Amino acid sequence: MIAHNLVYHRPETIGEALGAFAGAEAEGLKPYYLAGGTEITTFSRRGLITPGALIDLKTIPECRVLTRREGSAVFGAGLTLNEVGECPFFPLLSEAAGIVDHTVRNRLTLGGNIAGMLPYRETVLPFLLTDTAARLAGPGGEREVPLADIFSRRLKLKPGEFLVQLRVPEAEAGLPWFRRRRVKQSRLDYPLLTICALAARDGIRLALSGVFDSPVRSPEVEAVLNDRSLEPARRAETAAAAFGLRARDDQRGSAQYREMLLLRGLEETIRELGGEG
Amino acid sequence: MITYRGQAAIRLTVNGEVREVVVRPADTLLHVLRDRFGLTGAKAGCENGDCGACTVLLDGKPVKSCMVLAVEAEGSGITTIEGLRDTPVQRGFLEQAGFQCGFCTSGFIVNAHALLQTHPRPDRETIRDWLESNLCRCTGYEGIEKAIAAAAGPRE
Repeated sequence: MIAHNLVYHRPETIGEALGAFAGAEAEGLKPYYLAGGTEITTFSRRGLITPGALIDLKTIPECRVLTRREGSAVFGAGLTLNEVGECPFFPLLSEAAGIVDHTVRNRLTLGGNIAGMLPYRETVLPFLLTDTAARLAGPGGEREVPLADIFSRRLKLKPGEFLVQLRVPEAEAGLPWFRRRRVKQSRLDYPLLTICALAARDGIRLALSGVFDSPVRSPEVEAVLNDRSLEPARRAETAAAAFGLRARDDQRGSAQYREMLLLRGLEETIRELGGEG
Repeated sequence: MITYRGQAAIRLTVNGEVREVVVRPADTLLHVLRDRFGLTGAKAGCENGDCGACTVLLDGKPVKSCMVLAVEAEGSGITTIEGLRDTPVQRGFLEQAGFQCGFCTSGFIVNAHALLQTHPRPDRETIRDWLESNLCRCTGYEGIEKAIAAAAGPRE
């Protein structure tokens, strides 16, 4: 049971959603955008958050788009992970959407996973490997920006802004890919390590989650991964060090264990994506 | 735009019947089904989206009703275990003794019913993918899997 009271809005348009957000703020209510609700309902029940107003985005048509147009695959932020997982447009993304359990995936949305409160945000990894454009809506209007410009540890949205769509060049969505996910015990658990990688013409691109405090893609790491003057094992070792970040250390796994998984994962990535030659 | 605040009267379609109910916008679907409609088949287990004991169908898709607000379910068809009568999955659970204490059973049956509606002849991997959404603390998974396999036709 959620103990506190709140106001619920179900807008039909982006403009109505932005208006509801501004209106709630003017009333002194703390507004949250709602999509699948998997985090908001459970966090509210536990008293970790106390939204004063929820603005439900999942019936706004632009947030439900799933299409190919003008050389891009377009994913609405309100698509559920099962809908994304069943879509063939971006095979690595379909695989990355296979987190949590099947029933939760009927509610959990792409936008919620990327812009939510949990630190793993595994579905952002495939997008970080491509020239993805993020369509955002906010009080200042709508804008489309490179995802790489607004994702650093988390999605850097302006106050009142929300994610509407992600647009991926089809040429990149179809690249050979590799994904490795390591958990402590159950497949449903949060990851100790999730690697997503693409084999592009310019070499291996790699992003990961679970090892550090937030998802990361690093040009320095990729430079080492693609340095064929080094033996593959040495490349993996040097790439792991090149992150320059402290591994998470918690009840799911020690920092040392995560670092070991990272090293093995990088070795696998080089092997699977043909980076050994 | 629809807005609800305070005590709000909404209409929910539950097991084919349109019912009006007054809710707080913060009320979960699970609690409205149980406390307002007396449909106690969906169980309040973890209330954290982990156990699946509260599973119901929204427009034919299984969801955990502890993670859905009742106001969000307006306009959708809600099916609870009480809305399933003598389905192949229910017969399978009886024939294969697919339950022990029974607390998790309604969630499993509702989820498995949706599974067979979507994949009439599921393979073992598909059954496991869908059913890992539900926990049985008696650990009677073997019987549950047999019950569902019995309810399904030959495998895909």
